[in-house]
Amino acid sequence: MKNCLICQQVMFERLSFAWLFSLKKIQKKYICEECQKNFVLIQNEERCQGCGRSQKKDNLCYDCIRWKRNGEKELLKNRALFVYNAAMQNFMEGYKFKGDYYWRNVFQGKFEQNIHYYYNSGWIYVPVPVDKATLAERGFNQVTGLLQSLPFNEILQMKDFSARTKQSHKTRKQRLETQQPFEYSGGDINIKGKKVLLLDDVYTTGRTLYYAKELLSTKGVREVRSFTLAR
Amino acid sequence: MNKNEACGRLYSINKTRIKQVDLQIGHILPAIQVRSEDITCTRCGQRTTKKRAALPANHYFCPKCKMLGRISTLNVLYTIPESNEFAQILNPLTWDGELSVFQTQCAQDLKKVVQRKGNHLLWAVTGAGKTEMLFDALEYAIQRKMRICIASPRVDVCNELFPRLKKAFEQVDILLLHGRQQQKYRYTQIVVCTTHQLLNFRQAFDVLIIDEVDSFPFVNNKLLNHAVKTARKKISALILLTATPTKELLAEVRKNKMTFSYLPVRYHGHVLPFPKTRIVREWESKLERGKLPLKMIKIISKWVEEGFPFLIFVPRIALLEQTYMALKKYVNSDVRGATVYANDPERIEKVKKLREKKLIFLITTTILERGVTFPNLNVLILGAEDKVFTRSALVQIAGRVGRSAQRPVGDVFFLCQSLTRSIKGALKQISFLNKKGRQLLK
Ligand SMILES: [Zn+2]
Ligand SMILES: [Zn+2]
Ligand SMILES: [Zn+2]
Repeated sequence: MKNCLICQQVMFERLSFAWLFSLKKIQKKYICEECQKNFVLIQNEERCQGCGRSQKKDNLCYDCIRWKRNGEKELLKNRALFVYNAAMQNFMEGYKFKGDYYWRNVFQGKFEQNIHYYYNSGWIYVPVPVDKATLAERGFNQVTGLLQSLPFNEILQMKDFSARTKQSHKTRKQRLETQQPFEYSGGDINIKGKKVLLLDDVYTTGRTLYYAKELLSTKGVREVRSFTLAR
Repeated sequence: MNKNEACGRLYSINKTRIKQVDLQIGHILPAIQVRSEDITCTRCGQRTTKKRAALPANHYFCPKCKMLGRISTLNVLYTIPESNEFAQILNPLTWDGELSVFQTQCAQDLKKVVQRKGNHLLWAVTGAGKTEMLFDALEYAIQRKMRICIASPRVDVCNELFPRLKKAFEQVDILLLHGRQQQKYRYTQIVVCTTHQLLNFRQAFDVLIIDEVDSFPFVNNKLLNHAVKTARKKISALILLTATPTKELLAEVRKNKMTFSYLPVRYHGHVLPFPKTRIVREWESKLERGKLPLKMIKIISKWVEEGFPFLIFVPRIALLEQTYMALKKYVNSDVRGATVYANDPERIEKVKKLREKKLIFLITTTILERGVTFPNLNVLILGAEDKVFTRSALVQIAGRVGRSAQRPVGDVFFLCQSLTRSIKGALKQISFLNKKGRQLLK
C-alpha cells in the first residue's frame, strides 16, 4: 500500500489475472489514477507545428506566426507531452518550487521514452540551465531531473545575474546581447553542423528557448529543435 | 535577517549565506542528520529513506515537513534563545463576560497549571465554553511576560479562536499563523497557529495550549509529540483541551503524568443531547435505486414540519449527490438544501446560507463535525457504521446539536447497518458525561 504523491490518497495495486502469468514487472506507480486523469496528453495531429500547443488544427498558431513575422526563419518545432493545465501547474509547484525532487519520478520515464521515440539518433540533447542562485537553493535542475539514462550535454549556462540586468548606457546591439540570458559553456565539444534538441520543463512564451537557439546557431549548430514536458 | 525571526525559532538559511547570521547571540543546528540507511529531520524529527529524500550530489531533503518550506542538507537552522522581550501590561484582559460556576472551577485549575508550569488535560464537552475558561490563566501569563501559544490541528479552529482572543486581550500583540494564510511571521507574545507550525519554534513558549488535541490528522502522534516537545520551554505549562479524549490521553492522566479536570456541562447548564440509533439494513443499495430508508424519511419529515435546519452526514463524497437526489423526492421543492464537502469551493458560502436560513439542510462528509455551530440544529448520520466515523467524530457530530441557550436540546440520529465499536464507544462516552453532568447540576 502506497500513497499518491500528489493527493496523498492510498493507492491499491490492482493486479490483473493476466499479469500473474506474465513475466512483466509491475509498473511502478507514483500517482493515483484520478490524479493521472487530470494530466492531458497533447495529440499529434492536434497541435501547433511551431510550439506544440494543443489546438484543433495542425497549422501554426498565432504566437508562432508572430515569431516568423519577427524574423525567425526556422521555428523550434517544439513537441510537448502535456497541456499546461491546472494539474500540471500544481505539479510544477510541488516539484520545482516546493522542491520535492522525488516527484521527478512521476514523468521521468515518459519524458525520456518520448525523446527516444521522436529524436532517436543524430541529436545532441541539451537541457535548459537553471541560474546559480536557484540551483543553490533548489539543489537540482528540474529538467535534468526528468532524465535518467539519456546522455545529455550541459553546454549552456546562465550568465551572471548582474551581467544581465545592467542595461543602461548601451547601444541597441549591446542591449540585445545583454538580453541573451545564456552563455556557451561547452568548451571544445564539437557542435558544428550538428543537430541540437533543447529540453525544458515548460514552453511558455518560447522566449528563452529562442535565445538558446540563437546562441547555438552562432556556434554553427545546423538545426535546433525543442522538447518540453508541457505547453 | 531580522533577529526576531530566529528568536525561539528555527530559521532556515542556505549554507552559502551562513556568514549573515550572528553566532554571538544564536547558534546553528544541522537541518538534516544523514545516516547510512536513512535521514532524520531536525525540525520535524521524522525519518525518511535516503531514496525518498535524495537530491543530486549526495544532498538530502525532508519530505515530511516540506509544507513549511523545504529544508535540506543545503541549509542549516539558526536559532536564538527565547528572550521574552514583551511590554509590561498590567491589566491585559478586556473581556467583561461572566463564567458559570462550573467554568470558574476549571478556570482556576488552569491558572494553577500556569503557575506551577505543569501538564494538564481539560476534558470539556462541546459547547462548554473552553476559550473563556482560559482567560484567567492567560491574563496571569501575560502579566508575567510569558510567551504563549495556542495551537490546534485544525485551521478552522485557529481562525475561530484568533478574533476572540484579540477581543479579549486588545493590548496584546497576537499573531495568527497557518499554511493557508500568508500573514508574515513576526515576534509576538501570543501565537495562534496550527500544530504543524509548532515545528518552526524551539523552546519558545512558557505556556503551550493545544485545542482539540484529539483531532490531529491521521492521528500522527509522533509528529505532534515532537512539535510539542520542541516548541515549549523545558520548564513550561502544557494544557491540552479536548471534547473527546483518546484512551492514550486518559492513560497519561492515570499514570499521573498530567493533572486533569473535566466539565461535563455546557455553558448554558444543559448536558449533551443523547444520540438515538436506528438500524437501517442495505441503505446503500437502496440509495443506488434512488431510495432512502423509511426510518430516515420519517425523521426528516418531522424536522421539516418543525422548520429547524438539519445536517445529514454521509461517509463518502460519492454518496452526497445520490443522497441529495433521493431526499429531494421525499420533500417539497421549497425545502432547499445543498451538498458540501471538504474542498468544496463554495463551502463557506453554503454554510453561510444555512445560517441565514436560505437553506434548510446540508448533506455533508465529516468535515463540518467540529468548529461549525448553528442554533436549533438537528443532525443525522446515514451509514454511521463506516470507519470514517470514529468514536471522537461521532461525539463531535452529536455535539453540533443543542448549542444555543434558547434551544439546548435537539435530535441526533445515528443510522447504521449495525452498532459498531465506535458507535457503542461514543454512546458510552456521552452517557458517562451526562451522568456526571447531572450529578453536578443537582
Ligand atoms: Zn492522487
Ligand atoms: Zn505555436
Ligand atoms: Zn522534516
